[in-house]
Amino acid sequence: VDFRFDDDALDLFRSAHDSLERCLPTSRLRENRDAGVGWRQVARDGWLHAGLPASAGGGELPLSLVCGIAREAGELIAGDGFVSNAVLIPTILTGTADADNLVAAMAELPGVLIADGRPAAAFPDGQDEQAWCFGAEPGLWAYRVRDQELQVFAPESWSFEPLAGLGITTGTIRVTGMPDVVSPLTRSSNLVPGEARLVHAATLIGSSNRVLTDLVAYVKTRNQFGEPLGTFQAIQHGLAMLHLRIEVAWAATAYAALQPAETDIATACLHARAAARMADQLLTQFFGAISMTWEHDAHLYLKTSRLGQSRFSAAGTHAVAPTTSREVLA
Amino acid sequence: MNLDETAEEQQLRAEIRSYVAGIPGDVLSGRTFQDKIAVDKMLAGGGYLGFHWPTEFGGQSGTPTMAAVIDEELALGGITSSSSPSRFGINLLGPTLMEHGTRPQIERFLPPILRVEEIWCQGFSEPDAGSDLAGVRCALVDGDPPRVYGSKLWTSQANQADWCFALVRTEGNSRRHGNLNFVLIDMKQPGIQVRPIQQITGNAHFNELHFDGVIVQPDHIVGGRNNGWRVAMTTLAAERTYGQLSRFSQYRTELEKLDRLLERHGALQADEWAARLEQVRADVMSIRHLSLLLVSKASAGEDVGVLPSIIKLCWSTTHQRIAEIGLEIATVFGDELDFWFPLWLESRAETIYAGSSQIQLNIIAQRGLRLPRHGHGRAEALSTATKKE
Repeated sequence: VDFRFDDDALDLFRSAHDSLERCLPTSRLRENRDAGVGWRQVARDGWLHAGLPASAGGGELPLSLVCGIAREAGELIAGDGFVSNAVLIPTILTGTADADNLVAAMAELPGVLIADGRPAAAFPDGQDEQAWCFGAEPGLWAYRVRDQELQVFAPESWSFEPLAGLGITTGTIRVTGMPDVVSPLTRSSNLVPGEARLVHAATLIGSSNRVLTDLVAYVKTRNQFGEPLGTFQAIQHGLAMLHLRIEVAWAATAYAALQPAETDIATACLHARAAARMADQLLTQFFGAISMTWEHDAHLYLKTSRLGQSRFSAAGTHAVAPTTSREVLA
Repeated sequence: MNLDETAEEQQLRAEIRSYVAGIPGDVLSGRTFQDKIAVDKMLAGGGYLGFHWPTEFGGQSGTPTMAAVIDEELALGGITSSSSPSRFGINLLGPTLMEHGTRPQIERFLPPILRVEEIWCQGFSEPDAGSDLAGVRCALVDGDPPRVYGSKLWTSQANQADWCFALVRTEGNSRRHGNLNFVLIDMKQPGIQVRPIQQITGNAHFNELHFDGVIVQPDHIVGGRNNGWRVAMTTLAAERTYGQLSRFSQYRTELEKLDRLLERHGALQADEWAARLEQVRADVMSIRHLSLLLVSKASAGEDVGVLPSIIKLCWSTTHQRIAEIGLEIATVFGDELDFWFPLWLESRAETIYAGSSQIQLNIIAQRGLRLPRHGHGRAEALSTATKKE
């Protein structure tokens, strides 16, 4: 038994972080910039294909390492895009007639999935307008399944309306043009693979960890009552609990990645959501009033994290409840 | 990264499972201290007690992973390491003496621990020094021989122990960590008064200890005079490298018992309880995940950081939640209250002993996240102001 990531894995995660940070700085969201170039570069660097088979130009990395890369993406508010491009869209593409070529071509067509991401149980048949799409950014291609075929739309052939006008990268996608690529589905995939939920859990952990890192740095330097905020026990214990939640969630995710059983994936998702909820709470409470403005990135994390958690809230996500302790704790 | 046990670990698991199956049921189910001593002696006979001790000290040089395998299998067989009378000797004093003990101390004290011939208790806490270990006031007074005066509190199995390892303070001006001594005290001598403290459950596992001129042999000071803090830190660090797979197994057994209770009353699918059980099962799993991480790091010789504090917080709070829901269900059906009510009461203490939750959070914040201690800011500001002047 060796339940540690080795040095090679840690180096890999650092490289992924560097690439993602270089290509997809969080300022892209603040300024609503075209992210297509950045996502294409991340794809060319190999991060989106890391877990795919070699026949599709992938790196065949095990799920545990893909989760590690996903965590880094979550740190940069690129988690939803990573889940779509590293897991969900390739899953659909592998069911098409021209699977390998399409998956390989995806390096030039990173995209967003036109599907309601909440139920986490199905890829619904695509409408011209679909709410609750996750990871929508300007410059991405749009993928949808309709009438037993895959349709891919160029960046200028769809529009995006953030949820309630505030959703950052979550909201309604409306198709405004004809698909540029069409490929019949030879095998339909109604179920979102458990791996996708696990990778999404990893992105939430990354986002929560970024919140923790930023808060720790902040409370060390922000003085109140003649002391850094971080000397006060109320602050220390809150951040210590967040650290605990993140460690618990990450260990559960790594465990499930090694043997992706349904109950282990559900357990990881549950812990990831708990960590994210706590990060959300502390983010505004400890940063204070500045976090309630557009002058600080906190709101980007808060909105993305909170809406992302809705992917876990549907029935069927947590298959733990109806089972017995013997089954869950086997 | 892998979760596959080596052939050696699998063989050990099979061996210990078979060995535990061979222990007579009446020995396993015994509730008295002597019954538990009998179990320890059975384990010692099989070479499983102190399995992780180096062979030069009488152990088997088992890795932390192997120790965890043993713990888990024993707990599955109904033997929890937290109730072993030998636990203070095996898990705390043994590793401490290996690090700081003299050759005569090692030769005198380690073999009887492994043979379950001498039982130890730990004299750290005092009436005015609970979580604040450096607040110890029990006095070691010089003389021929040196003698100890003072009190210790919450000392588990002091009424049964043959020896006590304790932190005591020599006279002098040094405060806090400076003049502490780690001493070995023979409990079968005049001047020792042990007062069992009746606990909330009616049992008396804890004791108050009074030392009135109790003799400490000069060669029973470990690690040298006034070096007790460093020695005690080794004791606490030793405890930190153990996983909690034993508790994982124990809690799993309790949850299965709860499932059977619900099933008996046709309530296994009751919405509110099902949702809470879902959460608590996930929390129990986290004890396993984190324990695997801890033993993996310890086996590789890596710094385990604040992981032991995280695990302590997880198991103690999770067990309280299991007991809470168990008591609630037992109360509703008027069934198994004699199990769940004492468990609920006992579990209240788990966030207090072995480092309270508040201490664990302090450790995570200050050592893990490197947050400054209280007063640090003022001291720095004062220092800056002084420099400016």
